[in-house]
Amino acid sequence: MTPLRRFAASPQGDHAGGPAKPAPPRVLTKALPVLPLVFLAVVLVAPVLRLLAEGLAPEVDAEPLRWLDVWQDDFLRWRVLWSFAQAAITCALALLLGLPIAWVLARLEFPGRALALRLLMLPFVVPTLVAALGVLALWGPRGLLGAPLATAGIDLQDTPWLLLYGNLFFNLCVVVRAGVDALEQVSATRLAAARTLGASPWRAFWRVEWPAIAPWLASALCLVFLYCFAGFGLALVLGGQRYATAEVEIYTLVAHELELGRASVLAVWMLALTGAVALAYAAIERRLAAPGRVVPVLRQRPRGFGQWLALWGALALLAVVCAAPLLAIVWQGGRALLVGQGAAVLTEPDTLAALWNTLRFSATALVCATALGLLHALGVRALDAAAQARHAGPAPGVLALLWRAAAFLPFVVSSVTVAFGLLLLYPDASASLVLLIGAYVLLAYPFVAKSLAAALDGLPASLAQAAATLGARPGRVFWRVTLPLVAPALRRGMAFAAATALGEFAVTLFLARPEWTTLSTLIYQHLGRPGQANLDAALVLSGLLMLLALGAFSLIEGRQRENERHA
Amino acid sequence: MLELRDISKQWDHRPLLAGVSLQLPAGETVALLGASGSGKSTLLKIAAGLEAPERGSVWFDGQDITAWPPERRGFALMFQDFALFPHLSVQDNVAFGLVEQGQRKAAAREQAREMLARFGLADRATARVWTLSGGEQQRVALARALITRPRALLLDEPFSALDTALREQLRNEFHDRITEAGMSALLVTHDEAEARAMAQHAWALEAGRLVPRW
Repeated sequence: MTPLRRFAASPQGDHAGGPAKPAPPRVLTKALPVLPLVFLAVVLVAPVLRLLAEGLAPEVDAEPLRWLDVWQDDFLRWRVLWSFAQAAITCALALLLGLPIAWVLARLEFPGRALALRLLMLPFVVPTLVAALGVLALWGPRGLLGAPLATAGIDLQDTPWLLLYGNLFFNLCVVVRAGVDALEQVSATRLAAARTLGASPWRAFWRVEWPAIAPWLASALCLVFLYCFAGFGLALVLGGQRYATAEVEIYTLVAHELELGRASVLAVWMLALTGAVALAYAAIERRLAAPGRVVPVLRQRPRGFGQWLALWGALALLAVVCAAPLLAIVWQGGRALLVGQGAAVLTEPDTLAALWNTLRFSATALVCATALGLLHALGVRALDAAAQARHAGPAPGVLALLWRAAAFLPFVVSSVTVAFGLLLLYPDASASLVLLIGAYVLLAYPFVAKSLAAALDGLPASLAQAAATLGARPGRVFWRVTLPLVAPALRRGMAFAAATALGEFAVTLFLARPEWTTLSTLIYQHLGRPGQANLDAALVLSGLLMLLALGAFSLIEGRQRENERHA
Repeated sequence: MLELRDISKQWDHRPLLAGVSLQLPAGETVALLGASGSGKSTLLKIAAGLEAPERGSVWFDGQDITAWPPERRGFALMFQDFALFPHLSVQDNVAFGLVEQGQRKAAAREQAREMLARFGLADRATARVWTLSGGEQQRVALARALITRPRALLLDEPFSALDTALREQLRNEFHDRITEAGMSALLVTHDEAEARAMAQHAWALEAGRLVPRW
């Protein structure tokens, strides 16, 4: 799973302002953003600028591709257009299927509802390669459903359906979660007013609920589009020759054909298109009002045939799209382990080395990401407070707004672009462990930063002020009051960061030396080799990686304590 | 004696406080009345050191403390929303300031339990703050403020979150406890009856300036 999608599951803290911040920040707090700023400049901004320079004025190739040649080349044009089309189709399907599911989860009360909402988080934690294997374990030529279909003469390989299904596995939950959140913010009194003014339930939905939830859904769909458009792992494994995306083509051009100039022109186009969608997302987000206090619509037990049908239909859809690939991995992985040829892979030196690499890279990245994320989020708060003190008003400063947006940057730039930019800018360091870990940290730290910034925004300023008037110095206020209260958000951000690092694939494929193979890249290596034994090994390793990601997520996020719900 | 001298402050490009001067004599309660948005809470925060004035100074017993951080001033501020720490028990909330003064946790807790007993909350010492009623939370907030023996008590609309009956009962109780502790208190409120019940003197903040009431 790429970081962008996981971003949809982390709390959003984009509304500026919030509670009044304590005035003049002390000198130390002004220096908070320096380290993340330098990090972003070195690992993200400079490589992307280098990539832009290469794409706009190629120096590497003898016969460079010009800026507009992408649209004259049939093959490259198809790659870009297909990238666009598969993202758009996924958005349409996710909205069509996700909205009814969201309505059921937001409006109906039924046993297991809380569990269903919690299970919606699962795809956010699953690594991309595991999801791809899950789709193959279900629909591939030897898959649980794919094999009978193949016998009946229906071959899904080399069709767009595997990729679209994989996209839906990840993205249906994004739309459902956004839909549930939005529907829970619809005012019950406005809905009641519409009904008493003569609107039928459908008309009330269309005229009152839909306008209220549409901006939230639009924002979620922008994220879905960005993820699918800039996605790499799923398209690489499930797209095949014909339905791979432009990101896969960039990787092929760089890694296999060594056509860096051609790849950079394509990368610049992708960056421009991704940037345009990201700007649309930012514009929509800015227009979303911070939810005020509304009287929510009370959930009721399903009544009548229609509502029961809707409930079971929604649960069945969720099971087919979101749960089935994971269950298929468990089933097929278990079979490969117990009766197939998969058990041997667990004791192979390559596997142990990959496991060790995965753990040490992820642990290092998590520590660095936590430190940087903490500094970034505290920097947002310090800049907000400084702006308020300077302007003597509630308007947030430009710097504070930009710094908030900077945490979103690593989500917008695809992993392939980051890795390619790093290769171009630091060719001598391309096989350096520092660079690889740096890229891991870049992908992981925004989760900590976003999650913490949102928590800090939601913290009443009076708590820290009360502690200060009771004699606590700023450091003590942070240690005794702020940190314990934002700890759940910190843990949540760290859990997503850990899941991101454990499942990282694209950057490792670009930047890692052979001896730095991780579980993700080892799975990909097995997939690329022929024979049932390799497929079994890939399935077993996928099961192992899934367990690692879920285990790390649960361990770090922990159980929510009662006082944290009231914080 | 706490003294605010010629305090000015803008908010959102409008003058909020325009040369406000106020004295809080030792052992007295002074009320500050005003409509919402009139700047009375800002004045309180300037006194507490939580906001900096653009002009003017804050003095205590003849010493200019304008540049002092809030933790050094020793004024306990009670907030509208009580600002109890949700991650701490009732007794740890009350003991918070004592620990900051350097007391050991066990001793601070012991003292907090004694204080809570005086406030009729002995049986709630280990409870979580969100399990308390509004009135109980208010008492805990006062106990937390008084236990550190602050040099002055700053009360920011302390009863606005309570219902009318409880408000009247608590303001009488607070008045007695503050008087008993011999504490100076600056009470910010928009409720004149509340001010009359608790304060010897009152000022109203109108268009950024102080107008004497009684």
